[in-house]
Amino acid sequence: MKRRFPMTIMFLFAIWGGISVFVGKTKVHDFDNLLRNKLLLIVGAFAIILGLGSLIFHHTQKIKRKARFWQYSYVTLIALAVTTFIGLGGGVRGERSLPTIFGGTVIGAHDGLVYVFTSQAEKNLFMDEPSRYADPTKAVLELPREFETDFNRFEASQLREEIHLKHTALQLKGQPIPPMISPVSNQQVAYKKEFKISLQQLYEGILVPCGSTMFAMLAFYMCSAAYRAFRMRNLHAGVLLVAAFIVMLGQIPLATAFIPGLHELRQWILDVPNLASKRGIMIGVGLGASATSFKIILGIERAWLGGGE
Amino acid sequence: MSMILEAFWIWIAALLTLAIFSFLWKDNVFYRTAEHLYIGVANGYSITLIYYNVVLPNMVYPIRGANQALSADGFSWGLLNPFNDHNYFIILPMMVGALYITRFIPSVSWMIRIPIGITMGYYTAIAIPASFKASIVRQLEASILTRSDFDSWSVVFYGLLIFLTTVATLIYFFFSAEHKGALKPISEIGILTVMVGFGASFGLTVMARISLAIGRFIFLFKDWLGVVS
Repeated sequence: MKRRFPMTIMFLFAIWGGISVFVGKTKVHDFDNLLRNKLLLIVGAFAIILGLGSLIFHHTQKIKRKARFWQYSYVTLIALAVTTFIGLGGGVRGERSLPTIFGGTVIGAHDGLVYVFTSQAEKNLFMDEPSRYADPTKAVLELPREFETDFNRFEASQLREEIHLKHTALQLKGQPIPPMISPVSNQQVAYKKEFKISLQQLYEGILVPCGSTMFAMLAFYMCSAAYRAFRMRNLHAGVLLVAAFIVMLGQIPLATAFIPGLHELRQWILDVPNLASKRGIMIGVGLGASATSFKIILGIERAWLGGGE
Repeated sequence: MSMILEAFWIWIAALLTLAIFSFLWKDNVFYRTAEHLYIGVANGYSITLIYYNVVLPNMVYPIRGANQALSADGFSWGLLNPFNDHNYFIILPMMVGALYITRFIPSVSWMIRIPIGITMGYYTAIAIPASFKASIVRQLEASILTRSDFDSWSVVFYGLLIFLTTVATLIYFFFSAEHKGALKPISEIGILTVMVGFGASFGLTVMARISLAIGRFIFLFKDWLGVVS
């Protein structure tokens, strides 16, 4: 039961997946789209709880046992908590409510319309339930839809001018200005831009430099490893060394300027022997992947079930 | 204020860059701090993205909408239709997904195999034709010379060379027969081709990493220190 039931379910979904590939635009196809783009995404989203649980468990255990370098586990746990708080509270671009946006903002957008609120409480209501404010009589002005996805792209002066025009138009028509609408100042717009800590800033300030530096650092280790691995001990190692050397040298503008034909030679290596070897490997990988997939579906390969009963 | 915040983030990025580069000297407190910070922030970032891209649009909004429809119009079978924007059907995949959590409860931990099995079965099945088409059919198609290729002798020559070396590579990886007799020289050409491919891949990878390193140094000297214009 504990192994056969999951394997049966796996087999049934594999049959469904196989059928869906060969069925045209029918209801089967529609349901397959729903399954692939929505239902399985929902199932997969829960895996983050598993990963998160494992991460937190690992680091709390490390702290509890005072294992080697346990102090750094606090850094990971605090960074995780702060980033999640900023992300969930402030949104990807800091467009959501406090407290990750210091000072707050009185601007919101929904369905291509921009709203300016008289208070933060009004804005929070808008963020919770934007459809309540979809009434066009409450709209201040209409802006392109992309505004909604990127608050930071608009100019303060442009927005202020648009609002002023809308106000004037309403006054000329003798219509009352809705109470939730107020003129927006440059100060307010700038306020929104400047006083926030958003997930995007964490991404640009921490994730990008750390990630790219770690990958950049590999260049040093690869060079040191290459020095040991590429010594011309035999013909094969020599061919590898020469090909790598030409490809690297051919990418340097100074070298191509001084050595005629180097760039063409590099391109030939990439286009002919490199292509042939990659093609051969890819065909082998394709056959291997298909064979492994069949083994999993037919229950011959059962490593995914893990250990135990 | 904007300038101060900008400078603040540049300083953070610069210090983290230096902290990670410090590993080239030896493992140290700065590197380990930056490394653990990166892990924490990266996981928090993933959680937020999943929340906004999957949880809110696919779970929270449909159920909230279904609740509103239920309270306004009463029950209708449409509320169970997964094709509707607002429906209760999605509770079913949510329950299946929740089985991932059983991993933390030893007595029922086997149930984690159910969501894994569903995901694995479906994606493995749809991967077979996709991988067969992309990795085998398309590659074989591209290796075959057609009548139009014979308009240019260089295309014919290089096309034949690619075809023959591809076959040689495949023969090198064919272990069902011993590489002796006629197979020996062919497999030798195959291994030489593979070595050129590996060398080219190595060269490209090193250059990509060096580009990243140059990018980091430009950041340090230009954006942070301002000594390079």
